Amino acid sequence: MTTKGHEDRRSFRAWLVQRAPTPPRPTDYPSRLHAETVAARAGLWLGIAFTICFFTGLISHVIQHPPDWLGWPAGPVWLYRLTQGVHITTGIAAIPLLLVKLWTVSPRFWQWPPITSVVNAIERLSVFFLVGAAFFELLTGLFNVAEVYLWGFLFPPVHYAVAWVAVGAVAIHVAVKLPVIRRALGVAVENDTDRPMGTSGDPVEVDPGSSPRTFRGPLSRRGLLGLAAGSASLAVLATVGDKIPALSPISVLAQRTGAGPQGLPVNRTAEDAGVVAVATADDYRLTVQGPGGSRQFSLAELNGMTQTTAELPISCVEGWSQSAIWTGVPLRDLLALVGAHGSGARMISADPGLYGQSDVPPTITQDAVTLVALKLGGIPLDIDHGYPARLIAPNRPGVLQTKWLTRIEST
Amino acid sequence: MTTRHPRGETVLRVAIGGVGVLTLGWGLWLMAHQSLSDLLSAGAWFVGPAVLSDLLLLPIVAVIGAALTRHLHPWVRLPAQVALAVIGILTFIALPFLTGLGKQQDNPSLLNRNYPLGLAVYILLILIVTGGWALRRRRALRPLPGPARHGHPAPDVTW
Repeated sequence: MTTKGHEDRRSFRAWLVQRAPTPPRPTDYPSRLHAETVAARAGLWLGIAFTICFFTGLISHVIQHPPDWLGWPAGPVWLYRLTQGVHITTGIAAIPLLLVKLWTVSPRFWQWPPITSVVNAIERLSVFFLVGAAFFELLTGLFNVAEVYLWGFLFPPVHYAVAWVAVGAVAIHVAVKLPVIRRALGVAVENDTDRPMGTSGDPVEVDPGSSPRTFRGPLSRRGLLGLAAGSASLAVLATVGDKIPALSPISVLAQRTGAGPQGLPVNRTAEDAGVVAVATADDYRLTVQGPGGSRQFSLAELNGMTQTTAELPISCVEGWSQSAIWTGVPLRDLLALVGAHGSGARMISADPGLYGQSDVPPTITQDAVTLVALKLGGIPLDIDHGYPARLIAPNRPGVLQTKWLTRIEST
Repeated sequence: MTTRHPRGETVLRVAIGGVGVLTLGWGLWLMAHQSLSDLLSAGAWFVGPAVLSDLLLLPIVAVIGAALTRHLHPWVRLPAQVALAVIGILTFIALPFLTGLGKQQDNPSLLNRNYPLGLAVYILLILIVTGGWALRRRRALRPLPGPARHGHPAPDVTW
């Protein structure tokens, strides 16, 4: 009786051990889609998207934190609009590409033993940095466009730092995988390059620890790549309308429709900035300071000066951009009145926030269409567009187009 | 495999890898200048999605894919897989907009679209297109009647 109960318990334990869930192994993924020819192509597209995204992001960073040697040009006026639009768009397109690429190589996550050699350990560590940084950049970028901040850090410096981690990890990954990449890109996508195709219907010998790739589902490898490219295109189409107004009707996931006061969207409102009282005060004055002293201008005095009208885009770091007709006093005229010829300028807003000041390099201050704008579309600025006076300069991020100006200093 | 690496390729790999190590190191050095609380928050967003993609996202995709397409007839299975994948990816991108967390009361020009409706329209269009594709596949896969076609296998329908 006792022996029987003991045996029962033991066999039950054996049964439990047998049935205990075990982690999957790469050999448990039979689909032919888990192939290096697919991974190399999806990886190539993803690498191109990341490279474009990195350099356009770098441009945006150096405009906002310019090194001394950089003379960021005033033209073409649409250049930043283009680079930042491309930055956000390639980032969005990279999301489907990353998901498909990771799905393709996902069996490798379950490699057993987890580490087989020193080189393998380095490779896996670099892949961890690659996947971590790739998801970090794409997700924080996407959430930043949606202005959903589910984190404690300030977005720009951290997104910038991790971008370097991401491209560094991409380069290491390319270095490690270069022979495989060249091999895989050198043959048709349906071929298996790391083992000979089975002849005369013989079972194909499978590398130990890799996907057998024997299962043919309805989706072909070419089809999977088409799916990646197609969903990336659809994601772009669904979001690009806040950069290309003509596509706005079909971009149902764009950050904005393009509507706003005076037909132009607003990023930071006067109420949010806490500037309503200062901006609408009767005794408003714009102070301009230079080597020749300091002068104050009322709004009427600014309106009485020679005005320039120009069509210039607002190009937000979050990707949306829209062109508008601005009228105001050229910044260089105001600077000349205080003896500042050919200098840069610091624009200071009534807004005490993080973006309440911006520096304008001489390349931009001296441009004929860099304006202290007073009108938008021929009528005085809406308070949310920076009434009574704002900076509007060509080829410059919207965050540096300082609104509610109270003071300008030559630098 | 190691026997066939030409020398030039090895030099190239070392060069690319070296640039990669320096670049990655520069990124980590920049990160080291963040405060501890920022680092912890950023660390969660760095490690979390990378680990959850393997342990949560991919298994969910596999289970949904298997549950919804495994027992389907071949003519509808491929369109169904494609429709699910595209809808899934689009919904993934739409999620932060659907939460509405970014809306600001005083700024009606921001996030001023009907995101649930827009996504629903896209999903409907995807279902219509893939549905039409499925019906075409159904016709193509059905053996044609008549003596002229007797014995001919149904055409192999792929992409």
